[in-house]
Amino acid sequence: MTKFIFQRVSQAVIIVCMITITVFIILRFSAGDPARIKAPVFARADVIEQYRRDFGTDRPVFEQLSTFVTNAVSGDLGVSFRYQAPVADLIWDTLPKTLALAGTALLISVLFAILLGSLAAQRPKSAWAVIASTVAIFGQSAPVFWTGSILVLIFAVTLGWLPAVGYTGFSSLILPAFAVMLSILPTQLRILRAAMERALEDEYIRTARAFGISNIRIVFVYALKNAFLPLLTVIGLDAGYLLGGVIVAEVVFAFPGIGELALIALNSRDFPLIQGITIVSASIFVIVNLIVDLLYTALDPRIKLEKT
Amino acid sequence: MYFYFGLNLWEEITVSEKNNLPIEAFDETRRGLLKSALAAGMTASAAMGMSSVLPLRAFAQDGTASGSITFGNAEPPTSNYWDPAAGFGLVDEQAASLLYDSLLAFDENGKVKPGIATDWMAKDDKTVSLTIRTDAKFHDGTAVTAQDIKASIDRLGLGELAQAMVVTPGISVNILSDNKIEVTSPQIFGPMMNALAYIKILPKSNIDNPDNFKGAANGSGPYKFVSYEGNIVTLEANENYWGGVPNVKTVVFQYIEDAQARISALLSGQVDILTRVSPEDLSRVEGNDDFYVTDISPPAQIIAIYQHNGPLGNPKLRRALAHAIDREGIAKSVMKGLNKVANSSLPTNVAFYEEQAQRFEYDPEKARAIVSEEYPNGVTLRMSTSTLVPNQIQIDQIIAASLEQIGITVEVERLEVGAFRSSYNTYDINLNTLVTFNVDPDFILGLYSGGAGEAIFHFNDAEYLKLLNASRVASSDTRQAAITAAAGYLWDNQVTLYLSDEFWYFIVNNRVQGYRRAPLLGEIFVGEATVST
Repeated sequence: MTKFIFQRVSQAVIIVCMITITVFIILRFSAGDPARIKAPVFARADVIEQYRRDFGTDRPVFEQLSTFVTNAVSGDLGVSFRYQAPVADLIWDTLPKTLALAGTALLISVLFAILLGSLAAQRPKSAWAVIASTVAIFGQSAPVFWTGSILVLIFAVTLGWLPAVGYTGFSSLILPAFAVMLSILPTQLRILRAAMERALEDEYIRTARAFGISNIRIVFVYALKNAFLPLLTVIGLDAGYLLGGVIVAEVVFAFPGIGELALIALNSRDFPLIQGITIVSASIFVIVNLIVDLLYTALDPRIKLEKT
Repeated sequence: MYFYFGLNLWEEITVSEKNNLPIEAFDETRRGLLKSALAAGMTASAAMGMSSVLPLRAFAQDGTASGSITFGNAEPPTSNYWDPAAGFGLVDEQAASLLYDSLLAFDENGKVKPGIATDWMAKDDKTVSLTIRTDAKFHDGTAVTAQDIKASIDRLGLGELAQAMVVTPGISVNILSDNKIEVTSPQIFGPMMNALAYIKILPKSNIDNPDNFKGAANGSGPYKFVSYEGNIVTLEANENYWGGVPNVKTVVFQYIEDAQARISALLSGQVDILTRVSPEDLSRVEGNDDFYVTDISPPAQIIAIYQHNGPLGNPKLRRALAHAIDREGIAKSVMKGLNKVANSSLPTNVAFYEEQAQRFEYDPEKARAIVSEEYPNGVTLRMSTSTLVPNQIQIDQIIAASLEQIGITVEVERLEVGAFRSSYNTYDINLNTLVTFNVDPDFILGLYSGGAGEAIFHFNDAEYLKLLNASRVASSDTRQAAITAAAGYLWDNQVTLYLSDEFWYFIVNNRVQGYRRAPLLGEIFVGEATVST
């Protein structure tokens, strides 16, 4: 186990480094000039040149790369061109809000998937099955920006129950989390339902029923344990998707998370901030998938973690 | 009699006798705006705010500030670095107009009034003497001194900062005593008083240590900087402001990137004022008694920037384009009639505006004839498009199609906004908006000269430079004619495509009463409003 974790962490570090360097080079060679973007249309050439000196973009690319790598190794992600603040501080201010949003959406989605998927699996011709299918089709068809706008129109503008934009507390999480949840629920629901239907057909389930064990215990303890494994894979993938997918929700709801910060950074070609967010996002993705792999062994001891 | 800082005018009078610049042309435009406001069905409160002549900042009489006003903006501050001279940006100027004072100030008509300076007098055609008040304090409690004023102005004269272009190089301050200074320009500079009404006064200690601007602002204005967090800039009333405590306790500028989210925030009551709204936003509040609309906007225009280092260096081709593009049609259909079509190289609500005599009427046949004669083998123009300007994609499609109709080949490249902004001057033609920072036309006319003209348009014209300089040294009697001549040169030669004004509309929640604006970017009168709970 220790060896496995060490190997995966080493791989993660290499992957994150390669992503960061690739992003660094792409930004420098094709993203445009951040000095031109910061300066207004009518700025003089000497003002633009001063911005380049302030940003360090007047130096050769490989000198910039060397400086960046040297600093990053010691935990210094640089200073944002736009905010004139340490990149690390900006990310730590916004990351918890995005994690709260993504985590809430994921939690609600998993709970719904388990509940609705289990009910639909037990009664394939019932109203629960119809509801599950309808929710899956709707969630897959409706983009986040559309569901978000509709939710705001109903619950914020018309009813005035919840805030439309920004972050003012827990109530600000509800609408964006719901919109994001609807985008990831369909796949989780289908996977869980299919896995649960297979699990409920196994012989040990029949044996459990014969012993008079309650249906709730059979479904949510015994069958779910087996049906959960495929869902766990999807959760791992969704965690990665959410890091990028919440950008849309954060823009629609003006939610001050890392997704919106990334969008601002991209629009203003804020190279240090883009790189910092890339490092953090890639690291989170890798860590989440490592945790998912470890959870596999916890859920099913038959699975051994082998060399990959 | 009146005072104007320029050649041959010199009357040594103090400002207490008469202190307005002669901008009769602007008064007519303002009356025109008032008419259009009433025609658009705005409420009486907004119309009253535009027509009354109120004291500069009429703040709370009982010394108590209360309530909060939140602005919803489509852009964030350009940085978290609060040196107002370091850049140009809507939110930067919104905040700076409340955080800082200037020597002089603008009233609701964009005319100059006392600020930190209580009175002023022209000493000669390049020097003005000013008396400064002694009761102004920065937010950290230190007094505003002559040294701070000198440092704030001198550094612009050195030409190193983005906003150095609002003054002449070499402008400097001479301190005569604790409360008397002289501002001297090395050459006659007509817009001097407007510049002094715009330049913000900063602590010398911050100018000497620019790191102090990071994450905080220390001004002497009616509002203090509280924070910039999570896309929200928060300002709070300055209880010790020399001009009296503002009525409104808290002013917030909130960045909301998505247009739908912005209007939802307004409709749900989370923001009180939306800035620079679109025609679609206006239609959402039409007939809704909870909101009113104001259109007192800084002078702004939509232009298509021509690069003169390519085919568009040919004035005949530029005139052909002016005839080829149906600007009236674009204004009616795409802009829904909200913007005035350009008949000058200046926006209609700038001081000294006059319509130009020459008309470039929509005449594709005439345009085609010019192109055929000048370019019998055809000509190609490269155009970039993006979503920087409202309805840009549609407008650019119309422009490209119009040019194709008259025999010009147009290669259009769609770019993301950031790429568009950083590469616009590598294409022959692209749309942009130009917003000025005060109502004097010198700012716009100056963009076509020197380093700015080269950088923006690849334009350098000795004849135009003569006309521009003449406008800067003209007396009050002759300045109108000089400005019309300079603007006319740009217009007659169609130095760039002047599409229309860009009027800014502001939607205001009715709980904010008495909200008024000057034709500036800043929100200098927001503290006078009252907020009902």
